[in-house]
Amino acid sequence: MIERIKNKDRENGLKEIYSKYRNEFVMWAVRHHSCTMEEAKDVFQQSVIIFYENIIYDKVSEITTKVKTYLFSIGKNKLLELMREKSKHQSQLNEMALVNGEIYYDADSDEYEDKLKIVKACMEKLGDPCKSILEQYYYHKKSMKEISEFLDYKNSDTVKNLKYKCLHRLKQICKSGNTFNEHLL
Amino acid sequence: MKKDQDNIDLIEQYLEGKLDKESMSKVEEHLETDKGFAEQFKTYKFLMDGIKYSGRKELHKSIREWDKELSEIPEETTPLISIKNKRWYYMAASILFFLVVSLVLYSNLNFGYDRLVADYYTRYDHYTNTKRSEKSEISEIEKIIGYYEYGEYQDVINKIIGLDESQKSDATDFILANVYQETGKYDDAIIIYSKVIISGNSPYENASKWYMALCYLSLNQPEQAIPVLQELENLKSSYSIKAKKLLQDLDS
Repeated sequence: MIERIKNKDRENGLKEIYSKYRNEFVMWAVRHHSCTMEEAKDVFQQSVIIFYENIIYDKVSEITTKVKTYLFSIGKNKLLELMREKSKHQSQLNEMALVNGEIYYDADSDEYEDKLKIVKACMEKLGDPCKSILEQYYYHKKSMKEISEFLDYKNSDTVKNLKYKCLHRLKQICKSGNTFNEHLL
Repeated sequence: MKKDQDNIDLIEQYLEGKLDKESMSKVEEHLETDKGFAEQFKTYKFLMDGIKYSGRKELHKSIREWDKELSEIPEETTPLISIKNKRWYYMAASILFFLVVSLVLYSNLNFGYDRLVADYYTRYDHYTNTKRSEKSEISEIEKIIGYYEYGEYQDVINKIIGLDESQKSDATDFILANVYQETGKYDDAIIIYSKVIISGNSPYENASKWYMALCYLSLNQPEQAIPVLQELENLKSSYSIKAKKLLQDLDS
């Protein structure tokens, strides 16, 4: 499954995992963590994202337990975070989630996240193909070759040049918004 | 431009920990001594973090779409196909015939639980209607019960979901589960009945068990329903006799 998600079948692989375990996770979360169904669903969605990021950022090369056990471990940590947040004992979510003794995820602080929202807005302005190229490269960790095949470009050099131009354009768009520099500081 | 590109590559490799120890030290030294490079580093790190954030949000959006697909009951659609070739027509007709026969067989196989559920299921209608003085306003729970009694289930769902956490209780959970069961959303109903049961000492605990068992039967999962019914049978409640009888019917 890890190889499948890492390679070309990310969407279907993740969708399969989500569909297979959603109900079970939600029922388990509602039963054992006194959260609402909507909260449990949201936690599960975040857990699937963390699961995916741990795979693509090579934080986990192989899962020794079952996918379900691993996913539920992430979910359990996220539920505990939610509970802590709800009871206001902890103001920051900027902590590491421990799964099977290894560190996997560092959530962005709320303040920093607010700043990142500006870049996201600029990404929307940037549009495709730049948005896709940058997200595929920086978030999904796709190689230039994979991106060129995926977006039907001649070769990886074309995409590489385009990537620099897109990054430069993104910077220009963000700077033109005036607030960029003040948020950066 | 070339230098700019080289710097971006260097920053990327540094941030991903792909540089060797010596190169890492050089970058760090450079960051301390070259103000321009330090600014560039800060800018691109911020942009890269922003791109990752954007990618994560897009993925979350896709997952929410998958979630909608899961929650919605798929509607049967009949595609309009022009039949150009009779051979395809006969093939399609054969497949359709096969599907219909399978469906009939399948329905017959599972008909027993549908019939049993129909025999035993009656909508829960024992909510206490608290009388109020003419001047007092109708409370939210009274409005919800009113909608429920008139079968306006979407209004019930909207009202309950819109309640503050402080206004929610096992009663509102139980009503919501009833509505899900009435509208055929058995999975959702089971989740909420479980919540009421687990909350402990709820006046709706036994009723939740009874209705949850019926939901399992509606989903053709007698192996889940039976332990719940056995539990009810052993309790002194108005549901014990019904549970006992239903267990006997299931056994026969």
